[in-house]
Amino acid sequence: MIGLLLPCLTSCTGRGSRDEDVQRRADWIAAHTASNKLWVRDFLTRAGDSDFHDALFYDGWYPTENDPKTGGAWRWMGKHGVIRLRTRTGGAREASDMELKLFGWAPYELMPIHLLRLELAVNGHILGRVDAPARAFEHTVIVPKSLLDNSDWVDFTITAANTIMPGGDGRELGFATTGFQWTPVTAK
Amino acid sequence: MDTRNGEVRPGGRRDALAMPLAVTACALLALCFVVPYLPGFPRDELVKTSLWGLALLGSFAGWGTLIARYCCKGERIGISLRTVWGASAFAFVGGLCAMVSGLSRVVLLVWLVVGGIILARSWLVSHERMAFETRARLRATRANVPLAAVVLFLAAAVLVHYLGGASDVSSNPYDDDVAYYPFAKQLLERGTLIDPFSFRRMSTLGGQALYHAALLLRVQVLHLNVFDRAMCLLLSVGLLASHRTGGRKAPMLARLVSISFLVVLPNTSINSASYYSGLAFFLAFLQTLERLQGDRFEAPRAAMVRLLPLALTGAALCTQRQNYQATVGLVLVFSYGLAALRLRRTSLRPVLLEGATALVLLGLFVLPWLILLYRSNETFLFPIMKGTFRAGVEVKSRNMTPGRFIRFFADVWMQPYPIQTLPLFMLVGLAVREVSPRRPLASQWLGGFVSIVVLCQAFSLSDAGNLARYDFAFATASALLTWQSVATTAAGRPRSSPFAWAAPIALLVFALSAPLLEPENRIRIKKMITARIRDTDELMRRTVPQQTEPPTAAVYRRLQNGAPAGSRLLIMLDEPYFLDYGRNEIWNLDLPATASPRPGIPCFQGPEPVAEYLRAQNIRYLAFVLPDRSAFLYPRELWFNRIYDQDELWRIYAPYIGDVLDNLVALAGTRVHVVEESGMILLDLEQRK
Repeated sequence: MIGLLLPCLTSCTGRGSRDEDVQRRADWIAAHTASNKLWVRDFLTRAGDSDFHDALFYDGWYPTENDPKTGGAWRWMGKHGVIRLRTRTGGAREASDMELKLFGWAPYELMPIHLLRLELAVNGHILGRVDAPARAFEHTVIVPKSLLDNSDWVDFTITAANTIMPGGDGRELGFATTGFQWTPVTAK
Repeated sequence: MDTRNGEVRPGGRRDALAMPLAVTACALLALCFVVPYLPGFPRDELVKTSLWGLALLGSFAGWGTLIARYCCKGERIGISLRTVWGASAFAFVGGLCAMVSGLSRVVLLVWLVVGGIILARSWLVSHERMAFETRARLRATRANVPLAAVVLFLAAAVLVHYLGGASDVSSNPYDDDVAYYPFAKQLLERGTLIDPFSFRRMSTLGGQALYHAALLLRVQVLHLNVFDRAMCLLLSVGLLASHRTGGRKAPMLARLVSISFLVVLPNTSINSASYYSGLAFFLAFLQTLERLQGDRFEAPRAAMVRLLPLALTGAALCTQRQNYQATVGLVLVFSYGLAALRLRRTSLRPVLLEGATALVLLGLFVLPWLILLYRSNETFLFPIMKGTFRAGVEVKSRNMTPGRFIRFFADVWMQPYPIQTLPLFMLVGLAVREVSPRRPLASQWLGGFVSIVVLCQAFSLSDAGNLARYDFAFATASALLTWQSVATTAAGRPRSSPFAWAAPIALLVFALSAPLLEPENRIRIKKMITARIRDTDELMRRTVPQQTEPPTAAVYRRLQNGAPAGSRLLIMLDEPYFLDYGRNEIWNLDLPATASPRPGIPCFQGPEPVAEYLRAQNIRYLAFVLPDRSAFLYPRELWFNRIYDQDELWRIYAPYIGDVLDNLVALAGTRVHVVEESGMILLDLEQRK
């Protein structure tokens, strides 16, 4: 009877079912997606479980696409794309200055006019503008603590000045990201 | 006309045709049992499948008749309801046998034949009543020829469904071939259902597999759709035709409408798991609850007899699909809760006692399956109790926020497919004034609604489309019973108050017609009916002898024969239902790494720890399909692409499965290949190259 009850209680209470693969899983994913050169933050695959809860693709993003040959993955947005970010990461009680590093590219080759300006804002406060180059790029934005103090989450909005609807695609494309990194400035 | 004890004795006059009629019925029933055993029968795939399905239904009806005689003395119970009761008793007894590894062909056959004998005996005993009812129906047909023509037309449509379901050899290779068909084979050939490495085994108690096992006695594995798509659809139609509210049948027109609706409702099931079977059993469960009319609440001992059919049917439902467990429990809780609220001043104690008795009986009848699941996967109630489920794999979304959950639930509830008007049915169902203190209609809607909330919460990694299949059974049953109950009530109202019933009837007519006019549904309806006719036509046309064994089966047999008889075999194959489950103890990596006995199959640590772990589990032989040769579920590229899948579910599973695939291939490089053929390898983990 005890032999039956003990594993039953163990299972119900969650003991003995600890996720022991967290780090190994992350490493495995990193190793198997190494060919994705711009893959810095594993925003899709849940590696680093606690970090994953700190950001989510909230609005304006098309489904993820990938190239099985290279292992690369990306996600297009149209005119606007919103990423919702947690203001306090890693169990911090107080907000601090944060750094958002964004990786991606704009549809430069498809555009008749090469004006690919992206506007970056947090909760409507414009923090920077970037003229996207013809190749993939990374861009860092510092988000001051003052914008993060009063809420648990903030919306980071990317607005593309111009978009293009490529023939045969049917989607309005403004910017594609391959990942981003959201870390406290002090951690650097 | 004397109707005591369910027998009808026309005053003094004997019907000369009564006994011949009963004997003919018994002879036809006997043919259903015998013909599937005759070799070389023309069109035998269709004939044997159809007849064996009817034989099973006849047997269930026999056992159900026995239950009705014991539990509902003096009451008239329709044959469809008795059939479900009998099928539920079969699920309980089958569960008991499987729990102790005692299920076998002989046990199944004896149970089925005895059921058939009981039914035949009941026909012979009540031959006068049978003849009387037949004559009454013939008279009614002559009295209203147009209505009879409609009934005949509908009967033809149901026949098309039955034959089409029996001819439907489509299977879902990702679910049926890999797991559901092997479950039935294991029950039949090994007498139990132990599969600690199988994720799907964790997610089901096995009731549906038991019915499949009973079919496998005489039906080929690819015809198992006959249970859900033919037998259970037929049962559902019968249950709608004989439905009574407050002791009165719904008006004929209302019953024809609901049966027509069901017959043309698109089938959105994607595999052989419970779909129409859930509908039939929920219709029966809710009708059985409706039969407990009146303010009379029994003392526990009397209540046990009265509640037996209800608890049996509820328990059988629990074994068919995991999420039905919550629905069945909640419907009972709401039913007795509402009764307790209404009668709290007069008789609270009996209400609570009867409710408790119902729940205890329900638990008792599910218990064998729960114990069997525990034997297999160390859990009684997955996913609450994790058992051998891997901790890092989830069925719940980690990104779920309250807002997202509300959006998810709204998606599931507001756009239930294929009946998009479900909220309207619920609105009317809750508004109907019910005489019975148990409020069967209200409690089925409340129970169903809360169970959908629970489902969304428990399986938040899924999507609205998939969850629509999970709630189809009880939602459709509730909707159709609401329509029939309201129609019955409206027919009984005095003509002076048409507005009291006109509004709900109008709403329900809209709710019934709108889904059938929806463009996507119209396309699906056409496809479904075309497929049923095409499948039947194909089997009617086919004159070549039935293929008893496809060539692939021989490859599987040679693969299995490489391992000594009686040894434990771990497999990851595309079509494991070709294996002989009686020869070896076969454990199935259906979704590799998601389930495994403690401490869990090692992941992300390379192949050797996997080999050591398997040897510790007393597994020496490992049969698997090479990931570059797998046709369906195990291609490497499929899982590596899913690392980036849009669905969080696949992103979670992909690394684990991808890692296992790589590890198995790596082990193939270091261990002896006992057999290697057609991209499948049998490894001896003990012998290195």
